[in-house]
Amino acid sequence: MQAFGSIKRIEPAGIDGLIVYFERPTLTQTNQAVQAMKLALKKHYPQWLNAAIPGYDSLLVLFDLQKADVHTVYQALRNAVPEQGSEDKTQHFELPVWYQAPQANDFDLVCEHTGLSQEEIIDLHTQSDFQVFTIGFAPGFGYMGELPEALSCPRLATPRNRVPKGAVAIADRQTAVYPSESPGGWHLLGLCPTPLFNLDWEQPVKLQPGDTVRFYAIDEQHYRALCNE
Amino acid sequence: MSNITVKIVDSGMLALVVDAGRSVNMQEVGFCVSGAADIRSYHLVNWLCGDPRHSATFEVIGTFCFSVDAACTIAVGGPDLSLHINDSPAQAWQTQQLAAGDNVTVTPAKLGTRSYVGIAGKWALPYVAQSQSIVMREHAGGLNNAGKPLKANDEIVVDTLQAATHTHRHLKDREIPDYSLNAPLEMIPGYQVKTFEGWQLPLFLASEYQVTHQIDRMGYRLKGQPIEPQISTMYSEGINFGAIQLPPDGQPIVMMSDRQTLGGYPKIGCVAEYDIYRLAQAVPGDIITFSKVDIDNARSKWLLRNRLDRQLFEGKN
Repeated sequence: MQAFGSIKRIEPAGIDGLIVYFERPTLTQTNQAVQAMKLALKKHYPQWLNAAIPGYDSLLVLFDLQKADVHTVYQALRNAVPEQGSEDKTQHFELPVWYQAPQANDFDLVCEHTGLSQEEIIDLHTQSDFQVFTIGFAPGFGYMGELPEALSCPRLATPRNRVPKGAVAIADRQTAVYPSESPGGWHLLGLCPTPLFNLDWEQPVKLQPGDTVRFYAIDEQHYRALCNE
Repeated sequence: MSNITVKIVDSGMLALVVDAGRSVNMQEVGFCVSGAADIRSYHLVNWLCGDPRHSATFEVIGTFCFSVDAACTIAVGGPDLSLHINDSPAQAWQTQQLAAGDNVTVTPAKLGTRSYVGIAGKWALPYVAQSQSIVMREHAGGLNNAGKPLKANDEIVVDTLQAATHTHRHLKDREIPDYSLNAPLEMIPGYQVKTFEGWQLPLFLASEYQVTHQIDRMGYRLKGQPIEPQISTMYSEGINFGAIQLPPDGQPIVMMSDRQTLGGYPKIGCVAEYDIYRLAQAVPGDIITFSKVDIDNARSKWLLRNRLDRQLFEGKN
């Protein structure tokens, strides 16, 4: 299948799926093209569209085999009009973090890897907006980035069996907040009191791909007050 | 309301509640699809006990035993198994009526296969993303929405008044699924297939793979001729049902119902949906081969089987 525009490759992904790979000069732009195509495809709720699952640079389009084939999907991709900067549905969140909370503190390791001081780490983690590239791994786990190169840190050699709910973590040039307690292999910077996932909510997941997030530092007292809200 | 209580007497090796799975589009926000691992047997059992298409059933490995405190309609199916109602042999793959106090035991002939047990009616269990499936990894579904497998003495309430019919249904011999692994599993080459060296796909298709002990509802790890990906780093991307991942050791992992939504290992293609049920019923030591099918022919085959199923489900009672 012929690539076009910012699409560099289209491949089968199972009997009812096509995976579409995008390429633009930066990862943030590439991911914006992914999100724009997802919105464009979903705009008219075509009956054959079962799901459009964004990755970093890809969109997995799943279709109903009774209503469409790969050629239907390819035509829809061709005809889609991705609106660049269609940010009407995306949101911006300011998330508080109690950095160096004892339950989630890998600052020693991060300092060692990056050569940065504790203050510099917090500064780099709070000084810019991060984009939510995609949601996966676990319900509501948002992959955000890109971190400044200076803060880039590899994954732990051995993943932890238990990372507390709300833990703020970094790996490579990504950052995330663990929405529920789970295993995890990222370095932990602190705790965020803002609930991001609740099965009882109408939309159980707060962060959505395309959203932007800015972290800000709070102290333990403030953290406890926000937890009790 | 006509509530009955189903009491687990013996949960065997693993007893879960499953249905047809969660809303597929919830994968966009990180929910795995879940649902029956052998979706084919599940749909047949569910139909035999007269339930709507997405109702809860048990998916069990090993000997499973339960009792009911009031009359109800059940059906049991899966690879070769024996069914006993109060110590009397009974037939799988057909509707069975139970009376108050009846005890049911399901014993598979081969350890490790999955049996499905439907009980007609609406099960009083929570829904997550429009599904009652238990997802252990996410601590979701089942009693108290804790995501725990069932254990002895657990009790599940089923509202049988909403059961669709009490009509007797059964499968003819030719309608019982063929679980044999003699025929290759059909796979659709795709994803990163073009990044493998040209002879790696033919090598994969010409090789025999053994099912290892590392198999669960997330994925089935196979062992055999390594197929080595040329690329080592790639961005995480959406994983479809049946995707064949090749980690750096070159040993394939086929992704199943409880697979994570995103992953970063190279993939050489995907097992066609209509063949995944045979893999879901494979046990450690079984030998598997693959053959390739293009995506249009795969769809034709799927549509044909779907039509035969519809004739069965809608054509007779």
